[in-house]
Amino acid sequence: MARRFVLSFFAACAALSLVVAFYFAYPKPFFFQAWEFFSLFVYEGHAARSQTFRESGDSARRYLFQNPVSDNRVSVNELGNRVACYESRLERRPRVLLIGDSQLFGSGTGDEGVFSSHLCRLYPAAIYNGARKHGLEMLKHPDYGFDAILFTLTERNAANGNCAGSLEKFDENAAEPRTRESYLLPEGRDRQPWLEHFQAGIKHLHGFLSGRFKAFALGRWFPPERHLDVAAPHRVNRSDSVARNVECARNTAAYFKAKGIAVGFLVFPAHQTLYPAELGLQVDAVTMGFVDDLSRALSEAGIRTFNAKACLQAASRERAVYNRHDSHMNAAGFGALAACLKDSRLSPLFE
Amino acid sequence: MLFNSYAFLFVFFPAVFALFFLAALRSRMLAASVLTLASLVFYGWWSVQAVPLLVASFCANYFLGLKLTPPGGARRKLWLYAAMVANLGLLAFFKYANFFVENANALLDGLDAARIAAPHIVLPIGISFFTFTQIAFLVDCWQGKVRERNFIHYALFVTYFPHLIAGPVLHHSQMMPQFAKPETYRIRFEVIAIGLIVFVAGLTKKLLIADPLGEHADALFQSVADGGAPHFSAAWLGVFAYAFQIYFDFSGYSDMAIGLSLFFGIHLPVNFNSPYKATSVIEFWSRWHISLSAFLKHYLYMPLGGNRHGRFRRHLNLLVTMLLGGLWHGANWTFVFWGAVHGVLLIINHAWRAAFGRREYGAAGKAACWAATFLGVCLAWVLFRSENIATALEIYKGMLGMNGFRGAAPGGGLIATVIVSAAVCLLGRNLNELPYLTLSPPSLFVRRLMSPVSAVLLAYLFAVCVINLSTPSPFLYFQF
Repeated sequence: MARRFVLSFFAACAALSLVVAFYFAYPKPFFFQAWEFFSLFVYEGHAARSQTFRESGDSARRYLFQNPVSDNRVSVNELGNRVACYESRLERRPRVLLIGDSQLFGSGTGDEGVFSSHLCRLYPAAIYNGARKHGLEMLKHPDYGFDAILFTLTERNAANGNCAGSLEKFDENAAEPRTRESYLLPEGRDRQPWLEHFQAGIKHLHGFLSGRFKAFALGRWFPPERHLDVAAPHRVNRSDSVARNVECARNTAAYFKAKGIAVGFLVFPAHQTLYPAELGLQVDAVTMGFVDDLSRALSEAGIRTFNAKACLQAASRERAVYNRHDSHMNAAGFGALAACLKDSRLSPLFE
Repeated sequence: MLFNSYAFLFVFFPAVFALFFLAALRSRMLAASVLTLASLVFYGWWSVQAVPLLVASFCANYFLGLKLTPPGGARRKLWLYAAMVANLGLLAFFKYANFFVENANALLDGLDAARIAAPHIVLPIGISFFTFTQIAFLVDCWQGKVRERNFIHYALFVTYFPHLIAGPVLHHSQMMPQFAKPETYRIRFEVIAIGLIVFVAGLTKKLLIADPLGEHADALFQSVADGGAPHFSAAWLGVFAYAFQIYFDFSGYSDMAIGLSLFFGIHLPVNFNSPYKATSVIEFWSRWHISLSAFLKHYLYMPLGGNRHGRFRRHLNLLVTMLLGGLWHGANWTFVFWGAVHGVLLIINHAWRAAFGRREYGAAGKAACWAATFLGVCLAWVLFRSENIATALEIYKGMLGMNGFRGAAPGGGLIATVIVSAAVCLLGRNLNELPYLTLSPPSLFVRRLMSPVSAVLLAYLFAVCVINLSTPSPFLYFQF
């Protein structure tokens, strides 16, 4: 009895060790989206900067099998930013820095379909995608210079005052000199030590296996056909959200104007407010009206703004503009957004 | 080296386990020597500088033990005094010198006299445990109770790594006979199986319960130390969080020590017996840190006279024992007051029993006794955890509502964790129900536990614990 118990324990440990070994040897099957893999492996210098990745979506992870999946090429430059068209157009003007979150990074979308790639095809400008790494800190890079900044305000992060956070951080560190080496992803000598890498990786593996076990136990085999299973609707739950964002944007615009850099704000909705009925969501009136209210207030404050809601609504009547099981826009959505921007008052930033 | 570290779990322990049983194939003495050397390496991992002190301590005490053993001549009593002075002097020097100098300087400041230079002595880890262990050995040598005389076995008894840093406080009569038994040097699956269960249970207590609770408790005590004034619910929840943290942390460590030791076929005594189920302070001390309580009873309370000289002397002996027990935990007035509070609670408890006799209470009465005991213990923990008396008083003010009843709402996670911890403490079964801890025959519960399915679940629990090893935090009792 005891012998069988001890041997079963160590056999189970050995099996788990094999899974761990497999995970570190070939980690991609344990990730649903490229950004998770990039944070753990690429940004820490443990994997190549360009990966073909099979992605499904945030909410699809609650199901045992992933469907649909798309194979996306996801590439970042040596600074960790999504590939755009800055380095290849160094002599061109204007040079535009795009600031934003995972939407701008293009989570769930291949290199050719992300917003910055569409803009690169529309404009001859030198465009840099500063999402997820460095952001405004790119302005301090000794080899990079910018004539304009486009802030992309998503429904979620604009409401969280992301703009204020970025600016304060930038301002606090403004006096600190930055070397070009400090921007580079670790390679070889300065990559994350193996123990820390192991610890971070093992936590992800545990989350993955727990999720699989849960999906199996609950009998969640395949994700539903429509966008019905988006994780949780995000609510704008502060009455002063618009005022805070306007205040922040006003300060930001004034700050960079004084430095001779033009600034624009692109505001666009999440799919929860774009087609809530199809998602089966009850979205409150404050959240539903947030993008319109914010855009209006920004324009009234004299800040160059474009509200992309109507444009995306029109595009979504013809085809899906968001990924099916994810809160991120797809290549078609980014294409529509870029085309709308071309006809908006933000277009001069790129011309 | 922490039990809850990758280095210990995946390098040190497997290597020592393999070396021990390989050596045992050649000779038992070689295996015991391997374990002793491994224990010194384990200790040296903390501080190489402290290893000579440990070696000198057990060599000297072994020699003193020989001198004290009857028939040892007329000077035996002199040798005993010398041994006590040497051991307690060593403890006083390393553990209390800074404390005495600080207090002396406070007095001298009041008298406008010159201050004494602070010695800044670094406390060798585990000194309280290995000193107490050896004092018991010396006293028993003097009383003629010691049978085992092998030097290697003695060295192993003192340095044995599962207990060296934070106990249990071992008695030579529990340990040295086991080192002499041939079956100790054979791999026994029935013992290892229990060791696995107990070890993983301890690891779980530490990593999945105590550490998350500790974050909340630390937040309360640190905020007060930084000048904050906790409101009612924050103070109570923080104190409950600490009460459960220290239990799960220390009993988790003890379980891990017991479990690891069983891999070598050596039984360590159970150190906790569901102390928060106690319905009196007397019962609490028979369930909490049992090995220390037993040491204090046999080597301090009884020599002071115990209960043999009337009620007043008994109460005085209790108070002195608890005061010194408090001071043993650390060189700080908070520990002295903590000991004093428990001393007073024990006196009240004994006085109550003397006045009303031992009664069998009904359910409501038992619940009231339990609540009063738990409340008293929790209130005393405030002193134990606080950096100074001022911090403790501020927390007491918060618990009394003197800083207000409303403030930032405590997180739901904290409330849930405290409730789960309380449920585990009050409803959970204790590990001493397992065989090879009390050497009882396997019960139905244990037979069911020994299935391959349980083993796989245990392996999964172990894996979850390993995932949570990323920031190993030391055990609370290491500081004592």
